[in-house]
Amino acid sequence: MSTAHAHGGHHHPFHAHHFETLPQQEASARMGMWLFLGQELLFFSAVFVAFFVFQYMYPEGFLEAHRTLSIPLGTLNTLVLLTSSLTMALAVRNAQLGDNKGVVKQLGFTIALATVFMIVKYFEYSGKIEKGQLPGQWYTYEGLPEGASIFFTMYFVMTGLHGLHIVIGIGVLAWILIRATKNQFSAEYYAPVENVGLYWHLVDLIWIFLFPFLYLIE
Amino acid sequence: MSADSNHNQGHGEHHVMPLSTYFAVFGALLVLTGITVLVSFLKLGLLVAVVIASIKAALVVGYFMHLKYDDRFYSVILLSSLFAIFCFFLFVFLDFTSRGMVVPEEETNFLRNERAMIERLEQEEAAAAAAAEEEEEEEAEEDTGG
Repeated sequence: MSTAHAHGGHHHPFHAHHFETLPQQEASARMGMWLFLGQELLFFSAVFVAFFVFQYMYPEGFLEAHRTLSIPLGTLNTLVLLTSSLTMALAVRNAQLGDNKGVVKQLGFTIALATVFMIVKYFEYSGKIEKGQLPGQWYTYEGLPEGASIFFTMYFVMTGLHGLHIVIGIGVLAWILIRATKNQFSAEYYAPVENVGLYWHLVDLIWIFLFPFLYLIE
Repeated sequence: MSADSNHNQGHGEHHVMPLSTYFAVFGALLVLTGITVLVSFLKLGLLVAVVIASIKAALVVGYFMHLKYDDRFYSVILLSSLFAIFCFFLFVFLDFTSRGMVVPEEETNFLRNERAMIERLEQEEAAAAAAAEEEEEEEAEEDTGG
C-alpha cells in the first residue's frame, strides 16, 4: 500500500513497517496476547485465593450461602459459555480459511451467546439484590450463619470481574466482526481474530473454575 | 520475500484442524459439565470437581486455543504463569493451615468460634430485650383494657 518499505514487490496492507515479515508480526502479536493472558490468570488467581481463605475461615457461612445459588442457572450459563467458545473457535477456523462470511456468522453467534450469558447473570444478580444478599455494608439478608455476607461479597467480586471481561469481550468481538464484514482477514492475515479468540477462551476458562467453586462444591 | 520461510513459526502457524475435532472437543466439554454437576449432588468434594475442571481447561487450551499445535514458546508462557499461581496457592495454604501451631491466638478456627460466640450472646441479649418489651406491651394493654 502507501507505506514505504525496504522490501519490494507484494506488500500486505496490514503488514506494519517495523516488522520484517507478516508471519513475524503475527507471532509477535500472539506472544503479546499470551503474556497478557498469563497476567490475567495471575490477576484472577488473587480473587480465588481470597475466596479459599475466607472459605477456610467461615466454612458454615460459605456452605449455607453457596446453597442459595441456583445450580440450574449456573449450569445454563456454563453451557452458554462453552457453546460460545465453540463458535469462537469456528470463527478462527473460518478466518484461517479466509472465509470472512463464515467469520461474521460465527462471531454473530458468539456475541449472541455472550449476551444470553449476561441476561442470565442479570436475573441472578437482581434476585440477590432483592433479597439483600449484597456485599459488605449493603448485606441485609437474615437467616444465614456468619461469613455468608463475605461469601456474597466474593461472589459479586468474582462474577463481577468475570462479567466485566464478558462485556469487554462483546466489544472486541464486535470490532473484529465489523472488520470481517470488510473482508479484511485471510489465511495470511488473521491474527486479530486469533487473539480475540484466545481472550474469549480465557474468559471461558475462568468460568470453568468459577462455576464449580461457587455453585457446586459442598 | 526471502525471509518468509525462515521467520515462519514452525509447524503450527497455519494448522487448520478438521471440524470433527472441534465438535468432539465440544461434546467432551458438555459431558464433563454434566458429570461435574451430577457428581456435586453426591458430595464427593473438592478433588473431583478440580480434576474435571482441569480436564475441561486442558481441552479448551489445547484445541480451542491451538496450544497443542502451536509453537511451544506459548506453552512456556502459560506454564510459567501456572507455576506462579501454584506457588501463590501453596504458600497461602501453608500459612493458613499452620498459623495456629505458631500463634495459637491467630488460629482461624479460634477466631471463628469467638465471633460465633459473640454473635450468640448478642442474639440472646436481643431476644431477652424483645421478650421484656413484649411483656411491657402486654402490661400496657392490660392497663388500657382494665
